[in-house]
Amino acid sequence: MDKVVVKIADYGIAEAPAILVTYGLGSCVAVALYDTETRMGGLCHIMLPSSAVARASGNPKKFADMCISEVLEDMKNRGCKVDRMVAKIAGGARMFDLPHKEKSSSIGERNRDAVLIELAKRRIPLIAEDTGGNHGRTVEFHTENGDMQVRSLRSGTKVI
Amino acid sequence: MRQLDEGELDFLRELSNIGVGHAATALSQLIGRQVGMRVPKVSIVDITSVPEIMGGSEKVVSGVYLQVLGDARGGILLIFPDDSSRALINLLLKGVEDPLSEMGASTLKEVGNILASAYLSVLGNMLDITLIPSIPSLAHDMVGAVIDIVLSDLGEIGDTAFVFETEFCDIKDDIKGHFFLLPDPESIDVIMKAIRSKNG
Repeated sequence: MDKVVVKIADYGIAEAPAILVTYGLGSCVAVALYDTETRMGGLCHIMLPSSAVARASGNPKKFADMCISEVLEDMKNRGCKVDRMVAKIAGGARMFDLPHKEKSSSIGERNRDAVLIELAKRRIPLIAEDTGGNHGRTVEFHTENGDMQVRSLRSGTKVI
Repeated sequence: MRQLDEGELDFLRELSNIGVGHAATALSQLIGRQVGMRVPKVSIVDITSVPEIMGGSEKVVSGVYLQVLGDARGGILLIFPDDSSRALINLLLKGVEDPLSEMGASTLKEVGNILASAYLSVLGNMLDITLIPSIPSLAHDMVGAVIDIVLSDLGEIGDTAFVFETEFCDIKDDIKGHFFLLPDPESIDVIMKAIRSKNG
């Protein structure tokens, strides 16, 4: 079966029965967008919440807002419709305990929150998530059935 | 970020070489074995390629992260492959090797603290600036997840990062690690200014 590997600060798109995979998410968040009719999926590996607060822009795909806009545009061009889409997300951990650095919320939490805002803006329902904690995750998104498989070192594999 | 010329890069490389040399000496005293190091790289890297440098995003590692505080700021990340971190803990604790146990974790953090302090005190002395390591923090997980902490910091500033990287290894080849110093871009200027005032 086809496996499409999505690198950090990037996105990938695939049609059933291909699998989209992204490795080693810490504070990063993987966002899977799935058109239930075309069975096409898009997977983003985002690093940062928003292009608006960054000191410099650079590769837009590292930001939640920009990456989600770009993947949706790309999926629409391939025949997907946003109103048929559902989303699943994973990641957003706090890998290191840094009380003096992260006083209120960690970068992982901010990434998650930013993704939720972007999804809400477009009325894409978030149907499952596995976020937070202090462990890394590898995510496989199965376009065959819309399953998201989340693998971690300590707690094994789960499907959301 | 300002471009550095070849001479300035050479100087930084030399500086880092001396810093890591002291850190390697500290580690060899701690474990009672000779510790060698590769020639340090001072380079500007595409930050999204860092997981590959470390052997792939899913490789299990122990990472000790310390912030650099004082006149120049940044982060230090020490990465030990899983088997190296176990060998290191076992060598120091005789019989314990789990990096997730309380003793194991605090041992790794202490090693990180010693190496970072040795490195920063040399750098600070040579440049006449104050560099203080924060308390260390540990993560034992997939390398992709462990290095997110530095990637997201750097990613807020740009797509490329200025990285001082050195690989070190003990004489028996059981304990290997990567040492990364990631200065904040503003701190590069502080360091360069300090270099110039020393030279001129």
